[in-house]
Amino acid sequence: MLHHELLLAEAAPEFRPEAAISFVLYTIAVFVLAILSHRLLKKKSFLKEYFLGSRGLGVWALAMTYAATAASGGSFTGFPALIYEHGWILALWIASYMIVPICAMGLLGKRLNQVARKSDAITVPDVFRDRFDSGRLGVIASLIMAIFMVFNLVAQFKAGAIIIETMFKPLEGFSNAAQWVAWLPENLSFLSDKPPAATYCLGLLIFAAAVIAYTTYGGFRAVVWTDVLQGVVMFFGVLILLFFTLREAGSLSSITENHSKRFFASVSVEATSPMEIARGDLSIAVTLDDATQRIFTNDRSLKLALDASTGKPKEQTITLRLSDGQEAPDAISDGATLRVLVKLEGDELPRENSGVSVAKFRFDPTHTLVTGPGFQKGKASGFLPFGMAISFFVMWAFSGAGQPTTMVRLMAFDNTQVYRRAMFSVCVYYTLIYIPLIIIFVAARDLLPRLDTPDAAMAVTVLTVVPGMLAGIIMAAPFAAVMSTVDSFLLAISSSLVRDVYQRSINPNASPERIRRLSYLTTMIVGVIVMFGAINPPEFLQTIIILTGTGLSCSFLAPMFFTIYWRRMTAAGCLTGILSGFGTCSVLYLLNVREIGFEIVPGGFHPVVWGMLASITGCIVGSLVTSKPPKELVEKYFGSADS
Amino acid sequence: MESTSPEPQVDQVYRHSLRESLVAVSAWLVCGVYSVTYCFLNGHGRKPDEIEVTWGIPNWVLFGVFLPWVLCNVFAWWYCFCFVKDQELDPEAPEDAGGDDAAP
Repeated sequence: MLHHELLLAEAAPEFRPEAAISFVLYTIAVFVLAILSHRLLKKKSFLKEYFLGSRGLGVWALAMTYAATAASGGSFTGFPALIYEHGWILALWIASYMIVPICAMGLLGKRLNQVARKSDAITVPDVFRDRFDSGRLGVIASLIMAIFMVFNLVAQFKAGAIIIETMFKPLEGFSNAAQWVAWLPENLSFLSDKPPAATYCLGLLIFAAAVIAYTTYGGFRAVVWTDVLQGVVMFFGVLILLFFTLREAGSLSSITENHSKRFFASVSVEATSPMEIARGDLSIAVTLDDATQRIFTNDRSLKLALDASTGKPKEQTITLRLSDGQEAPDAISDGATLRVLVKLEGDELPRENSGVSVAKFRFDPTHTLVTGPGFQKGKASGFLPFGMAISFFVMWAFSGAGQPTTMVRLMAFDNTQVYRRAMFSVCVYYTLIYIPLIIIFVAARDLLPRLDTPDAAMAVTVLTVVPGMLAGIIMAAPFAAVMSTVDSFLLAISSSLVRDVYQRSINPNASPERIRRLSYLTTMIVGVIVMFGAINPPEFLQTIIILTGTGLSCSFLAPMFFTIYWRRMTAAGCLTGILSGFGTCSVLYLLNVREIGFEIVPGGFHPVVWGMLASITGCIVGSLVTSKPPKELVEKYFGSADS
Repeated sequence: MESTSPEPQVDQVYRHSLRESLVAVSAWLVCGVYSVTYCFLNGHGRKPDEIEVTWGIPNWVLFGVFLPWVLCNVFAWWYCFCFVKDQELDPEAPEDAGGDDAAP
C-alpha cells in the first residue's frame, strides 16, 4: 500500500506549504548574511575584501566554504541522478573523495597561501602574474578560467531552476505566474528545437535573481558566510534524509536484494513516425536459443522522433527492463528473434505493426545495479570500466585541487592552525555526506523505480519521504549546494575580469570607485549571460560539471604546483602547461561531444588523465627549453636560488 | 671577490610544504590502488547472485570503499594534527598597498 502511494507521489509530488515556508526562510537568511557582509565591505580595502575576504578565514569558515563550494549542484542533483541510474557502482566512482581533502588541500594549501601573501595576490591569475612577473600569463590564465567557469555555471543554474520548479510547480499560483514568462522559451526557440517548460524558466529566473543579487551585493565574505550556512544545511539535510528514506524503504538488505533481480537491456530503436509511448507500453519479446522467451519493457515514458533534418527514422537508444520474475539469460545472441509490441494512445492492446523496429539489442547480465561496471545504455563496456574507475580516482582528487575557486580559498586562510583543523573537518564532513548519499539513492531507486527524469531524483525523494517543515529544510540542501558553487564561480569570473584583465592590464590607474562599480556590474552581467545559457539546459548536469571541472584542473593544477614548488619553472613553461592541458582536454571532449558516454578514450582513460599528463609535460619541457628565471624572483619565493 | 651579503636560506615553509604535499599524494596513491583493485576483483563482471552482501551493502563496496574511507579519517587525523607543521606565514601587505583601494 505504501509502495503504491509512493508511486503515485512520484508521478506528481503534492505542494507542501510548510516545506515551501522553510525553503523561503532559508533564502531570506542568505540575504541577511549578504547584507551583513556588505556592511563589513565598507570598512575594508574593497578588492581584497570583495574577492578574498581580507585573507582572514577561520577554521569553520575555511572548512565549510571549501566543502560547500566543492559539493556543487552536481553533488545534490547530478550525483543522486547517477546513483539512481547506475546503483552501487557510484561508490567506486566517488571513492576518491575519501582522500580528496588531504590531497587537494595538502598538496597546495600552505605554500600557496604563503606565495600569495608574498606577492599580495588576490586571484589565481594574480599568483601566476606575480611569480613570473608576466602580465601576458595573467591575462591568458584569466580568460581560460572564465571560459570553463561560464559553462559550469550554466549547469549549476539548471540545477537551481529544477529544484525551485519541482518544489513550487504543484502550486497553482506558480504555474499561473509561469505564463508570464512563457514568452521566454518561445522567443528563444533558436536555442533548442525542444523549448523548456515555462515553469522551468520561472524557476530559473527566481534562482538567478536571488543568487546574482546576494553575490553581487555581498562579495567573497557573503559567499563564505552563506557557504557556512549552506554547509550546515547540507550536512543535516543529508542525515535527516537518510533516516526517512531508510524508514520508508525498509532494510538495506531487502533493497539490495530487489536490485539484484533487476536486469536491463540497451536497445536502439527506430520509429517510422513520431510517437509518445507511455510507461510499460513498449515490450520486446526475445526468443532465446533454447526457445524460451523473455519480455523486456520500458520503465519510463518514451518520445520517439524522426530526424529533424532528413525526416527519416532516427536511431534512438532506450533502456528496457527484464520483466519481474523472469530469469536473466547468460547472453542474448545476435540472431535471437525479437518481437516488438507497442500500445499507442487509443489502442486497447499492444500491437506488433506499430512502426517501431529494433536496430540493436544489447544485454549483459553482469551490468546491474549491484555489480560493476554498472549498466549504461548504449555502452557495451558498462558505466565504469577499469580505466574509467582509475580516471575518476585521479580526477576527483586532482580536479578538486586544480579548481581556481578552491585555490582562492586556500589563499584566504588566516594561519596554518586554521588550515590543519579545516582540512580534517572537511575529511569528516565528506565522509558523512557522500556515504549516506549513496545509500539514500540506492534506496530511492527501489522506492521510486520509474522516474522519467533522474535529475529530479533528489527533489522527488525528499518531497515523497520527508514530512512537514523538514522537507523544506532538506530541499534547501541541494539548493544550498548549487548556490554555494554558483556564487563562488561568479566571483571568480568577475575577479578575473576586473582585477586581472582590467585593473592590472588595461587601466592600472582606475579609481577605487570605478573598480567597485565595475566589480558589481561584471558579477551581474556574467550572471545574466549564464542565465540565458541555462534556458536550453543540457540533459545530464553531472556530465557538464565533469567536463568543465576537469578542463580547469588540467589547465591549472600542474602549472600551479610547479609555480610554487619548482625553482626552475619559467613563465613560458607555465604558459605551455596551461595551454597543453587546456588543449588536450578540450580536443578529447570535442571528439566525444556526440558520444557523451566517452567512446573516444585513448587507452581507456578519461580525458582528464591525458590532459594532466600533457600539462605536466608542458610545464617541464617549456621551462627547460627556455632560459632560467631571474635570480631575484627565485630568491623572493624560495629563499635560496639553489635547490 | 667575496660576496659581502650572506647567502639566502631555503624558505622553510617551502621545504615543509613540499614534504607534506608528497605524503598527501602518496596517501592518495595507496587509496586509489587499493580501492580500484579490490572493487574490480570482487565486484566487476559478476552476476548479482555471485555478490556477497553484508548489512545490505555489497562486500566489494563495503571493503573496497566504505571501510577504507573510514580509515582515511584516521589517517587524516594523524596527518593534520601530528604531521603538518605549524609555521609563520608571511605577514599580510598593508591594506592600501599594491595600487589597491581603500573604501571612503
